[in-house]
Amino acid sequence: MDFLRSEKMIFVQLIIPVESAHRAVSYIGELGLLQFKDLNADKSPFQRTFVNQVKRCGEMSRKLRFFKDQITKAGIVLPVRPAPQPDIDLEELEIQLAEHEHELIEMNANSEKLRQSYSELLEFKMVLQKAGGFLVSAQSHTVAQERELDENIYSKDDYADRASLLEQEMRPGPSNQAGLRFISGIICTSKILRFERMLFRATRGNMLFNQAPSEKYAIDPMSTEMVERTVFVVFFSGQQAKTKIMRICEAFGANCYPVPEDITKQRQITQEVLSRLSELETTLDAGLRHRNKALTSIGFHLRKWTIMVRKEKAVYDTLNMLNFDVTKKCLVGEGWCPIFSKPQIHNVLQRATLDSNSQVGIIFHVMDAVESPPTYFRTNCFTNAFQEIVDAYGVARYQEANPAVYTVITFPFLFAVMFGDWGHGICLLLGAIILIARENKLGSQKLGSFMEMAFGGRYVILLMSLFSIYCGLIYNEFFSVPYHIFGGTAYKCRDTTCRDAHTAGLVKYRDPYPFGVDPSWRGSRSELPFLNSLKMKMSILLLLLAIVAVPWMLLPKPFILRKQHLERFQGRTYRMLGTSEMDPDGEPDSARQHLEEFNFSEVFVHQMIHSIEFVLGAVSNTASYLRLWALSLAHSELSTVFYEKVLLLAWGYDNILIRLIGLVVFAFATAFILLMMETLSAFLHALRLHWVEFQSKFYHGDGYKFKPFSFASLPDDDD
Amino acid sequence: MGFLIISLIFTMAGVIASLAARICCNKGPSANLFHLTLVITATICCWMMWAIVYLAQLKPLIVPILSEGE
Repeated sequence: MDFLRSEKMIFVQLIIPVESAHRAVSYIGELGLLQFKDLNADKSPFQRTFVNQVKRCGEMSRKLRFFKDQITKAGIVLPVRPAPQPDIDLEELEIQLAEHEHELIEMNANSEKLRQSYSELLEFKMVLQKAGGFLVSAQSHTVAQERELDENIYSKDDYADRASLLEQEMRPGPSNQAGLRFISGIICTSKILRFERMLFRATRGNMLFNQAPSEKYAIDPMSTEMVERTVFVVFFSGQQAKTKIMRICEAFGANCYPVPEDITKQRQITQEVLSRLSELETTLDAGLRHRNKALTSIGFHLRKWTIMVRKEKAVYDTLNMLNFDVTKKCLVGEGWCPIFSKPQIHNVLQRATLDSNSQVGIIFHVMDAVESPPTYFRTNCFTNAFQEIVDAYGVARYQEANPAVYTVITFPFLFAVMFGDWGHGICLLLGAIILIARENKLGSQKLGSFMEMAFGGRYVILLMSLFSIYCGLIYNEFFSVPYHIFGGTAYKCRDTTCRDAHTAGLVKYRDPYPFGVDPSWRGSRSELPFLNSLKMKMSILLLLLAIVAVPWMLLPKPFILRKQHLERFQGRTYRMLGTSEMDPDGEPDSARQHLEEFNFSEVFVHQMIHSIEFVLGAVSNTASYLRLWALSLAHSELSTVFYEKVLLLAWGYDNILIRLIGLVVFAFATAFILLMMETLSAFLHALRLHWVEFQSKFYHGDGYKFKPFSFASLPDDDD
Repeated sequence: MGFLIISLIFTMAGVIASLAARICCNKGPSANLFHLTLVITATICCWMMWAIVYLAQLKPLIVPILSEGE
């Protein structure tokens, strides 16, 4: 049986000429059956041969991630299956990616600048609208003094760099004439109170402060959130006050905009600002559309490019593991592969030689290995989950017996012993069937971590549910209710009046109930003593079976080994060197390396130690196996409680609403507590029984898993 | 007597299941052996569960005592 022991592995050496190296490795990656050994393990990543190519691939994948980021930020949805495109060369791809990145960065910078000026103009418009109101009222209160309107440009430092047409129209230079001047601007509402107080203190009260909140929210460039803004106007006099106020404005991040006092001028400037704003809007829109178009065209190819770059990086990483022989212009590689894949790899290498028009073929031959081979079990989607359960404890040693063969049945069986209720089993079965029916659809989606585990273990859940239905029939529990499926009960009253039924109990008048626990037990006062003793006996019997099975495996071992040793070294003088065929049931390394006499007594003592260890372990295992009893009792009691105290209680009332509520509570309690929590709990305990009690008896589990270089197993991180 | 009969029924079920597995999924000697192992293990597990429960009820030491209100 192939599944019982690891596939036979051979250690191979490849000598590849340089021109066909890249192609050979990528074809091997597609095949996915060769595990390369890292021959340059002592070199740092920067000393390896193909470090430049790896760096380039890293750069390209960074650019691809950047594109993906931009596409997600722009909210563009890509088609799931893009149309097939012609293949592209790696160098061409690099150049294209660089171009696209440059273009995208430029577009982003431009639109950033435009957006900045757009928001400033927007602020200016708000200031014009509100401050205009203040100035009008201020004007009407003036004394007939001459007032010079100061249209200075009070602003942040870099505002002056992006001078707009409006500023060029204004009169340059401050006026030195004393008189009532004002500064108008806009500031976040949250800061306005402190701002006013600061201004008041700085000007010693010689100022007039007017403010009005603007209704529209705007995006604060600093924090990129929507904030409320307030327009303010500060009236003051004197040059000193002006500098102080300007500095305070800068400190508080208030943007100041000049507002002309003259009403007609105000209207004129407002018109200009509005037209400018609409221009900018259209420009921004056009820019956005252009960028989205570019992103969409990139997006079509993105997935294909990402896969290509990832494959190339993997190929170069693998090439880095090979030894580069400069004199002979070839790469030497070593690795493990299963015996059955030898012809396939031969074909692949021949194809690589042909495709790269190389004159020299690739040399591929088997070598002897010092270290122990990796363990490889060929699993299908059914056995994969069980193999993972076993591997989580430890990967089997090469050619060691694989517990997964029995785990396929015993694990669901032990689960069912703890879970036995055929009503719950049917629910689990439905769940498993749904998962298996939608296998294809769910397999290609990205699932959450919980769903992924449930989906990966769908066949385990299927078997668990089937066994649970069986055990439920045996325990005679359907949502804790017993049924008379297999005929009548074996108990009846002692006489027709049933007087003694509550004191002395019923009497057994015929053969026992043919399948499972007699339904009469449910609800009786002696139910628990009977069931407890039954389940305890079951646990102990299962334990005894486990105990009896194992000495069969341990004790014959020295005798078998001795026989094999004698057979192998019959013709010692004609020993062949470097044979790759290893006897599956023996210990190949030790047999080849230790040529001394087979020390029978040593092996026997070794086995004795194992057996004593095992017996002591058996004592501790007794208590452990009783968990089978404990959990099944817990499950049954929980089920009974929910049934009797929730459903029956609610059903006792005539009110339809109370009945409905009771049903709903019962359904939820069953689904979450019994189906989910109890399932996980029984799963965990069955797992523990397997790992500790079963596998620790004979399983070494110190092998390492066969991880071939395969494109299929490349991490699919972002998609 | 009933014990033997039903045990025989279990054996028959096991044989039928192995035949069914051989007919439905005949995928080479190694896979066939694996399927046979699974079927035999499952049959033995199920039979054992049933046998323990049946034998425990054959000659019971206690009888059901009905509780009040039943």
